[in-house]
Amino acid sequence: MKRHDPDTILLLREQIARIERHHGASGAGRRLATGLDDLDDHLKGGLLRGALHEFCGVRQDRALCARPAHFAASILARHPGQIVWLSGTPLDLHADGLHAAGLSPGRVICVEAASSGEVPALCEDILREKGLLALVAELDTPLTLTTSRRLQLAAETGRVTGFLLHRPAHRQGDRPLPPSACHTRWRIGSEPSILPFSPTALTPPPGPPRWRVELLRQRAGRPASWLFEVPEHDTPYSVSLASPLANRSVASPSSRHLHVAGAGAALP
Amino acid sequence: MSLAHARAVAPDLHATDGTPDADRLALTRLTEWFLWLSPIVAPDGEDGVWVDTAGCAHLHGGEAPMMAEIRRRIQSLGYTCRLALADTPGAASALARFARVPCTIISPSTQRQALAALPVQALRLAPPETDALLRLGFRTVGALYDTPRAPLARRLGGTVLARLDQVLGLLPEPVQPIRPIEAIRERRSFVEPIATAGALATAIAVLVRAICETLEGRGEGARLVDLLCERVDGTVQAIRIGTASPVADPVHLSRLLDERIPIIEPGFGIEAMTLVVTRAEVRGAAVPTGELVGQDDVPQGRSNISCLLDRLQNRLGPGRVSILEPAASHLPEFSQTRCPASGEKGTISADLACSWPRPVRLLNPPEPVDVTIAGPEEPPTSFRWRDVHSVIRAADGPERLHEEWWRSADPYGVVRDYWIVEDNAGERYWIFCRAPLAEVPPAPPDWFLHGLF
Repeated sequence: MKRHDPDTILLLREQIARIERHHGASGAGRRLATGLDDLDDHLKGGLLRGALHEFCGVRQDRALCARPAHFAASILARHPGQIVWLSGTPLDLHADGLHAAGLSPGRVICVEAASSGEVPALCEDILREKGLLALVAELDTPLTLTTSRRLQLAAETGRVTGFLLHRPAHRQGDRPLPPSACHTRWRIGSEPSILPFSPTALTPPPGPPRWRVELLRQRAGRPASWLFEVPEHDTPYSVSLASPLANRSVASPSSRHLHVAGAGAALP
Repeated sequence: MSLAHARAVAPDLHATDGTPDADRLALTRLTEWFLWLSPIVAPDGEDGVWVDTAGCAHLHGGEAPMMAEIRRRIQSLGYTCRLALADTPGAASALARFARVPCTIISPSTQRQALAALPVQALRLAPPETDALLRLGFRTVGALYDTPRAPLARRLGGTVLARLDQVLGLLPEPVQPIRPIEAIRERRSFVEPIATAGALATAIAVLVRAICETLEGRGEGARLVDLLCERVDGTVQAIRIGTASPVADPVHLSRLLDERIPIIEPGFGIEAMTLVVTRAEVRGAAVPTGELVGQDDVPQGRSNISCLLDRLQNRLGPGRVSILEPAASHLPEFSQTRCPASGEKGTISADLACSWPRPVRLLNPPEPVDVTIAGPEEPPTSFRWRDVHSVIRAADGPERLHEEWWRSADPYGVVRDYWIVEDNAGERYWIFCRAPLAEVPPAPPDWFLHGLF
C-alpha cells in the first residue's frame, strides 16, 4: 500500500480482531465485569474470561487469603453460572461469609483434592470443561511457568475463568511470586479506615473497611493501584464494593456511593 | 440359658431384639455377593451359604488358595466365618459347622472318615429326631454307619437315613441356585484377545451403547456400573464407576469408564467383556444434553456439568465433591454442612443465612491469641497471633453467642463474645472471648481468632 488508506487499515484491523477473537482474545462481552467502574475502565471491560487471574494477600492475610477470596466471590456474584472451588487442604469456606459477599453458596461446588500436589492436574481437567463460570483454586506453592501455560491453554479451550488464590504455607510467604503465564496478577491489601468520631469510647468502632487493590501485572496492559471503601450495609443481601476514594478524601458517613476522581493513578 | 439367667451372671448385659427378616435379607444379599466366585450359589439354613465351586478351583490356583481367598474376602466384609469344602452339600454344611478347625477341605476318599466324628446335630435333622437319636444313644454320625437300617427307619422315620445317605453322597441333593435380580448386562467376546487402550475403549463404547438403549427403554438410569473383563488366563478384572444421579447418556458413561482404563491389566489379552448395571434407578425428566450458547459464547440455561462432577467423584473418592448447605445452628463453625453435589442447581434459602457480618473463611479450629485487655467488658487493646503483635485501634461488638447447651451439658452457661477489631495497618480480625458466665470468681477468659475479614 503506497498511501495509508484509512479504510484499508480499518479493514485490516477488523480482520486481526476477528482472528484474535477466534483465539479468545479481548472482545466485548468476553470479560467479567467487576462492578467497579475504575477497575473496569482500566481492564477494558473487566477480567478476561477464559484466562487465569492470580490473587494474593498481604501480611497476615497471605497464609489465609481471606480478602482475595471475598474479592473473587464478589466479582463472581455478578455473573450467572456454577463455580468450582478447589483446594488441596480441607476447605475452610464459610457459607454465611460467601452470602455476605453476594455469592450464593448453592452455586459453589467445593472439591477437596487428596493433596495439594494434585491440584494443578485437577485444575487442568476442570478448566477444560465447558459450562462452568469459573474455577477458584487455592494453591500453596506457586505454579511453574510451564504449568501455568498449560492451565492458560486449558482455560481458553473451556472458556472457564480461572481464579488462583495463593496461600503459601506459613514462613514461606515472604518470597515474591515467580513469573507465570497468568493474564493478571492482583494483590489485595488493607488500609486503615477512617474512624467515626466517638469521644467517649476507649476503643472506637471502626469505619467502613478500606481495601487497597493492586494490579501487579497485566498481560498487554499496565499495572495500577486503587483504594476502595466497602460501604457499611444495612441490607446484608446486597453488597457491592464501592467506588474508589482518593487517598485523602473525607467520607461523609451517610453517603453510600462515592465517586471521587483522581483515584489511584496507573503506575508508569 | 435364659435371658434372666444370663443377666444374673453378667449384670450389664445388653440384649436387643432379634430381627429374623432383616437377617434373612442380609443372608440373601451375602449369597448374591458370592456370585463373584461361582454362578451357583444358595443360602444354607439361616446362617450359611452354599457355593458350587466345581471348576472354579483352578482359577484361584488350587483348592486351598481358593478357600484362603474366600476367607480373606469375607473377613474384609466384616464377617467371621467357618469354611468347608467337600463332595456333597450335606457334608460341607456339616463340616463347616461342627468341625474342629475353621477351614476344612476333605477329599472324596476321606469323607466317610471325616464325618464319623461329627455329632448327630450335623445331619440337619428336626429337633425331635435329634433328641430321639440322642436318647437311643447315637452321639456321633459314625455310630449310624453300621447300624441296621430297617429298625432305624421304623423307629425314627425315613428322614434320618435320607440325610445320612445325602451326606455320604449316596442320594443326590441338588442345590437350588438363587436367581439374582434382573440386572441389565451385555457381554461381548472377541475373536482375538485385545490388550490396547484404544481397543478397550472401542469395546466399551459398543457395550455402553447397548446398555443405554436398554436403560432408555426402561426409563431408568444407571447409578453403579461394573465392567468385567475376562482375561485369557481365566481371571476377571473389574472396574466400577458410580454416578451421582441416574445416567443413560452413552457419552457420559463411556467417558467415566475410559478414565478407568489404565487400571485394567490386560495380561496376555482380554477375551470377553461384560458390562453390568449393578444399580439402576428411575430417571427424572430428560435433561437436554446440548448447551444453549448465547451471543458471546457464554453458556446459558442449564449447563450440564454432572459429567464433570461424576468424573471428579470417581477420581477423588466419595465425600470430596460437595455443596455447602445451611445447618440450623448459630455457632459459625456448625452453621453449614456438606452435601454431595449432584449437578442440579440449588439455591440457598435466605432465611437461614446469617445477617451479622461473617468472614469468608473460618479458622478451624479457632486459634488462641494472647491479648492485653483494658477492662472486663472492653475489647482488647492489643493481641499477638502467630508471632505477630497487632495494636488494636478500633473494635466493633460484642456479638454474644451462647454455646449450645441443648446438645450436651458441658457448654451450659458458656458464652462467646465476638469482636471485629481493626489494627493499625487496617487488617480486620474476628476474635472472640469464651468464658462461662456464672463463674465466681471470674477467671480470665480465653481469647481466640476465628477468621479474617
